[in-house]
Amino acid sequence: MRHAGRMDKRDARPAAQVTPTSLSGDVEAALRTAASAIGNLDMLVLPPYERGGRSMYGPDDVGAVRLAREAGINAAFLQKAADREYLHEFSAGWAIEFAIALGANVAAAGIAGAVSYVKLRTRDAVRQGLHPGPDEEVPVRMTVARIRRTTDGETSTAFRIEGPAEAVADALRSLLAGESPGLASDEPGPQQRCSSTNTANEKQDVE
Amino acid sequence: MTVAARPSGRIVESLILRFGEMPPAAGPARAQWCVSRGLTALADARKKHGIALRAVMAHLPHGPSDLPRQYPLHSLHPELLALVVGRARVRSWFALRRQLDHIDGVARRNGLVMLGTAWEAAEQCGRAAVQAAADGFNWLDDAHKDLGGETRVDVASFIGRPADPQPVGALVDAAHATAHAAGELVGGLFGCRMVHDREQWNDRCTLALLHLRFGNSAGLAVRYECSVCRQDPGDCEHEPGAIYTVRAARTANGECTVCGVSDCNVHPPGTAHQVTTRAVLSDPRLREVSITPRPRDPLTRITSRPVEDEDIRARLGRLPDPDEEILSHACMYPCTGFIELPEL
Repeated sequence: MRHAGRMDKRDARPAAQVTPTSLSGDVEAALRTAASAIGNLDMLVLPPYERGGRSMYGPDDVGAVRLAREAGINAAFLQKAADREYLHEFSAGWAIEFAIALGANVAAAGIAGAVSYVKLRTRDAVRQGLHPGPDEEVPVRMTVARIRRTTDGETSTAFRIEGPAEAVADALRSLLAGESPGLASDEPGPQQRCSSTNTANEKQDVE
Repeated sequence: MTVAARPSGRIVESLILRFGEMPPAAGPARAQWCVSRGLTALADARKKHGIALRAVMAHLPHGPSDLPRQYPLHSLHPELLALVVGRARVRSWFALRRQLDHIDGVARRNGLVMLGTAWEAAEQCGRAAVQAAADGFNWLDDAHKDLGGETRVDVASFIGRPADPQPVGALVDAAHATAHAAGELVGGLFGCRMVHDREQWNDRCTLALLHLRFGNSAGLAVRYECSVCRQDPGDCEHEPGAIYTVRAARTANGECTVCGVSDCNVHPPGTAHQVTTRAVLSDPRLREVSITPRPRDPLTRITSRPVEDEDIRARLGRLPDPDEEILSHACMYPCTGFIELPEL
């Protein structure tokens, strides 16, 4: 199985890659209308694939909300059942691919919940036999979108995190912890701090 | 679902989708799935090849000694050697076939039939053996991509009877060898006909097509339904794997709410049944098909390819009429290797 991570110089543990990404048009549009509803939720499960201009969930997303609730997260699908389609195609490389949206101001409990969700998705993939394990080595590609309210309305920024599950969970934790203040104020935005680099890697490299 | 495509004006037919359960996308679950089906298919191929061979031998005047000497056709041969060996094999098999036809002719003149229903059954069994061996090869070759050739498979645990553990590579080779052996029996005694269809000659030889190591991966858009409540399982409260009592009814589309089958006569409306919660795939729509070295379903591959007119002229010295019977001798020639998908 190919891993996309760089190798950390000290402990040779593969790291995750974090890159800014954009959401597909229909997800962006749905997020704008759903943003008012997310106030009651901790997380939205987004469709991670786009084919022919239409966003689609993966077969493993069927149990996504159920898993999120196991992690103590109040979650819902972005798309209502009638609009939900699942993509069946052969994908090589990533054992798990999923996407989530969180509010801009995630508290510590929310960060822990999102990280737990990554771990539960990973464990579920190993349980289903999609990867031999161990859990922390399962190749994961996730997209995380942050929704914030501005004077222009609801906007979102998104990042793609790729790598072994443990490194992805670490990178997500760093991203959510470091990004929240920036989004809530005039501090440099995530693109400026994370653009094409890996905040988690940088942290590990200087430790 | 089979489709025909026309690259460069010639028609290629492919199986792109088989309905039913789909192999897992990746991981140990996929390898397990492929090994399990590969071993089943290989066992089936060996059994059917054995039955066909015994039935054939029962028709031979001197029994097994009439058959051409066994030869490892599956081992890789250089082109020139393959030609020499193949031509000799064709001569041997066709001589035997002529001898059998002669005896059958004499028998028929005396009111007897030698090549009758048992002979036809042997042909059916032989052709089924080739198909099963090809299926076995395709399943096991997919597992080989994940497990490698050296990983030993506990064969006994898959087939449910005593058997020695075997390396995956040896199982792939065994399926390949069985396909060649069964193919030669079929091609040699029963004949493999090329088919003239849609203004071209077509090669539908299972053994020859087995050596094209690429297939079709279909991309589908689907919906899921909970087996208990028929809602999207992402929203309902039914725990996967849990058993619930469901009262049978019919949906607006006439599908049974217990089994999902249209025109179900097993679950009469109003009767109660125990149903295990699972996500049931519904409303599949084909989005696209990719040609790939490793198709999602290892059995969705090319089923017919065109034979160029120049190739037929080179073999026969002329272009035959569409209604002529043209036999392919490919099954009697040794293996010259596999054709991989060229990198684009």
